[in-house]
Amino acid sequence: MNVQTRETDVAVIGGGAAGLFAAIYAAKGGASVMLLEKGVTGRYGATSCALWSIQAPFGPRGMDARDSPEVMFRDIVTNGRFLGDQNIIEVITKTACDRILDLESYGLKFRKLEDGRFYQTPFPGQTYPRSVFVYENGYAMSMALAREVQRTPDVWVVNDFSAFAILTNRGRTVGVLGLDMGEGQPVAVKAKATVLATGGYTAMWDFTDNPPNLTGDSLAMAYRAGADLIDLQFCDFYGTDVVWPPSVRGTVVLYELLAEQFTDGNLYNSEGKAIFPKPLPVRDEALRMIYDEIRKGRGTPHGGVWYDVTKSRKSKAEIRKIYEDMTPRHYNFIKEAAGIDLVEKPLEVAPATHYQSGGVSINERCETTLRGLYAAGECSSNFQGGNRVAGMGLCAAITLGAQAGKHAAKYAAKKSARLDRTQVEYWVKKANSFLRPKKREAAGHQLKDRVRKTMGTYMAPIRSRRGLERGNAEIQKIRAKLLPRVHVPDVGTYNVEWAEAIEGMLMLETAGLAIGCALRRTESRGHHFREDYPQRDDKNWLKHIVVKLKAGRQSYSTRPVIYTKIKPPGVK
Amino acid sequence: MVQKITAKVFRFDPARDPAPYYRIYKLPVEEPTTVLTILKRIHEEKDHTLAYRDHICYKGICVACEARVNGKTVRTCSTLVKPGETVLIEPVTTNPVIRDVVTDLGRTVEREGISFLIRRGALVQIRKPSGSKD
Repeated sequence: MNVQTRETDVAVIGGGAAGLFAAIYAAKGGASVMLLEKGVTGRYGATSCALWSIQAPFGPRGMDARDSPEVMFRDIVTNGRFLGDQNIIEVITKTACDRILDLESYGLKFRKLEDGRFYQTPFPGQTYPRSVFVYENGYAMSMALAREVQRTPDVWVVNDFSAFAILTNRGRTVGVLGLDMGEGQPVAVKAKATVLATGGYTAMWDFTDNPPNLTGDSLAMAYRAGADLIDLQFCDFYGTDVVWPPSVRGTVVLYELLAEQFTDGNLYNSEGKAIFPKPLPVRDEALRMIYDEIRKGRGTPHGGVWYDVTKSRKSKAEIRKIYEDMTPRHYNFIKEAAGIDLVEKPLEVAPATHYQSGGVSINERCETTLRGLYAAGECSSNFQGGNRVAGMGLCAAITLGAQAGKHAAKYAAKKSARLDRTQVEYWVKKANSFLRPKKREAAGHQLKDRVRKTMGTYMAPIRSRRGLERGNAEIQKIRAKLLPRVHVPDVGTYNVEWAEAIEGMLMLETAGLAIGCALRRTESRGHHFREDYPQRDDKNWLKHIVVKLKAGRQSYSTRPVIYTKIKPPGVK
Repeated sequence: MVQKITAKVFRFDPARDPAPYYRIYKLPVEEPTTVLTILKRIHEEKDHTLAYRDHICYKGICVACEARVNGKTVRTCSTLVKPGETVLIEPVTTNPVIRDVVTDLGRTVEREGISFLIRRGALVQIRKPSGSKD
């Protein structure tokens, strides 16, 4: 079998903030880099969809001199419900400001005070105002990084490349295999080190505020290659995403802007009762309050609650100015694509998947448990713990992206890579099998839809053993009955169905693992809420759930949380 | 009330087709529908071979979904078509066509020591659409 092969020192999978930072820092470390992006670098991915908030403890250079990396460290640890590995949180908090200054040097504009200090907003879960403000939000950031990558010698960007297998040889990572949409065929990339930066698995659910391609491909790929995955039950939900009308379904409207210092609006149930106390709750608590109203039958016609600023004591002009100032793009998008001005009219909102806190297990150098394989940003884990606070998604992406790139380059300098041809052929055959005609054919997107429906039903914000077991059975059924029937047309370049079939295959694997982790965590903490175990159980569950592939089967275990500085109350 | 949207869609595979052609699809809808949703629904319900970029940033900024709609370059995520209307959907003319309405939004490949942008696919001259609104 003749498979087109390209060669590089470091392969980076994913063209969002984590991947772009990894590419820049790996190149700085002397490596040649190939960045493999599923869509278009800088435009696709969660970074370009993100808002403007990045946590950075600038202290005297920002809004409050009392803030520091130490205060930020404590905020992340406690709001993560003591499940974040502190060796990684140290890296994040210590390097956040430097990465913001990097971004500034790449041409990104931040809002500043007149005396040059960083403007920072206070969000729930931050002791002092800590979120710096990126003009034109995450999109400006990913484009600034993409342009910096263009200027960086030795970084080659390959767009429209859907990675689907990590290649190994004798227990080491030696590259990546993916569907090159432009070529219309699988292409192998031989690499001495590989960085996973594919973002989250949020699009495995049927209601998300992330783009549809965030299917968590890293998880299935890393698992198949033999790396440890960790805490996959922790999918963070965001409480207030638009459910209706369909044209703007999934758009974020910030609940944080309902705070007294902003619009002073609230969420209302169908009986007209206000839902939030003030000051506003942090995300996991907010989510549960909203979900509870909907479950108890006090929701809106399309299964949400009302996001309503019309009853605020503040004037419409004042409120409009806040949205135009803070989230102008989202505000205008809802006006344009749905014809609704949210200052004038309440919107139906509900919890949607927002961020993956679990993921590929890493240490403070972003090394996974598989040699030569690194992970950064949303797909890596676990430093957010059970609950990510506002401004920590982008912050983890930029800090860990750079860290992964730096260490991957160091590793690549000492190693060589040789592909295992049998393994390459195995995966290429697997991908090509979708092109073969089948009896009672099914389409690639049907596979994804079935997984999404299963996750939406059984991996919802509130879970139970019975539901999760049903979900597991459903995943097994899809794998046995639907997957073998998936057929895609042979249309050459940019074969959307083929990419979807491969994504669906990976999603099936990841969904099974996520449900497995959720089943085993018999307590409630952060964004994992078990109806049958409603209490937080610090005695038994201050630990991570680990899953890996062992002798062809899922093998679950636990490992302690790494505490370097702050122990949970009551733990010695 | 269910009405139909009639979409006339540009189809072209530079590697296989001698020339571009148009296909007409009729979709039942109840609400005003975005062009991005129309493309997604054609792909899923009518024709799996249609190539389009399935990406949305929920704020009309990333332009990954950009296309020419009734002769005008727009973001398809925030361009609404009313039930009963006819719409012409074509690729933007500034980038080479990879296939159908998907264009190359910037693609680089390896070359000794530097990264550079190469244009893939073919630049296509789009004739003035008949029945366009502008």
